[in-house]
Amino acid sequence: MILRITIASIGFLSILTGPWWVPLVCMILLSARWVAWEALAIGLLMDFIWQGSGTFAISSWHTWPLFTIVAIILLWAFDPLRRRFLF
Amino acid sequence: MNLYRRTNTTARRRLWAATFLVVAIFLLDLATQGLIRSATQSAAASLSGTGIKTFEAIKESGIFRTRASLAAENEDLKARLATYESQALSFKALKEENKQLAEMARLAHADSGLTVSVVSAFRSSPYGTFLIGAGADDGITIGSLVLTDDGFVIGHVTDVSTRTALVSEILGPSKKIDAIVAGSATVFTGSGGGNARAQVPRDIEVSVGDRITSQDTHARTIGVVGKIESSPADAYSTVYMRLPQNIATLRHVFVATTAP
Repeated sequence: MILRITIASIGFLSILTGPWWVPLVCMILLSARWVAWEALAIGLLMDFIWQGSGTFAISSWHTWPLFTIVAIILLWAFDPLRRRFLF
Repeated sequence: MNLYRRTNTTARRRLWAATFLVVAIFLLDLATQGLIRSATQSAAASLSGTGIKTFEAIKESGIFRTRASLAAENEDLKARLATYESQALSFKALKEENKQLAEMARLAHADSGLTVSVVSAFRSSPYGTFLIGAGADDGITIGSLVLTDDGFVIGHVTDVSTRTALVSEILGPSKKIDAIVAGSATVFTGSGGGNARAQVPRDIEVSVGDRITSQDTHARTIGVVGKIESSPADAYSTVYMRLPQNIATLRHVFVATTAP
């Protein structure tokens, strides 16, 4: 539990203070080990804070909320792995 | 076995719930035209601003400084001072020349705007954006141009809340901008940090230090030519654009609230 809180805290703090890849690494670590809502929250916050609201367009992929999408994909992609090795 | 199944089902249910919640929040934000996003950005700007102030106060207090680091900093500052003095002399000459040219061409800009603080780190954003500590209450609108103190356009405002705004770098990663270099129109592709590159026909005479302007920024300067790469076998030269100052060290920017 302490490990989870530590990784999540680093992830949340680095949204504003660290390079963009630090939250990404935290998202990967969190979703690899737990069904972590924190990974989704970090992804959503990254997009809400750093991406302009008027930029979203389905036709151009670079306007998509990439961190939110990556967080969802990570959580679901790691699910079989978690079920196989951790439960 | 029952415990295994129950744990699995609960975990799966939580995963579905979390996914739906995130999608719902995102859709709600889209439906409210960025209301949640705007509130999040305001809170983030306020948190980040406080963090930066606290960090600077601790840094200035010298609590964590050692003698060796102070000596190194002293040397560094001396070197920087010498560079700035030399730059100031050339700047003065260029300023005079620029003033004369502007008067001659009657192109002097009469901008109204304000100097605002940058309240986030440039490296934090994966989208080539940063937060500034002024918003709609200060007269900032979507599309306002953001300049360095040297007058180089570095971005434009994309989101505004009452006291903060989100600025999108014009030379952010993979962003394209129409520009004019040595009288020739070309498209520069940004790579973040005020850097970009473009291909121009080799017969066009481009030199290091040439100004690069863009119609997208009302013919203002967006950078200078930093490097040119060409080979005799190639019909095109690669021109690298840069800003004279490191964008990551900017603490204040000028926001033009009216177009020239």
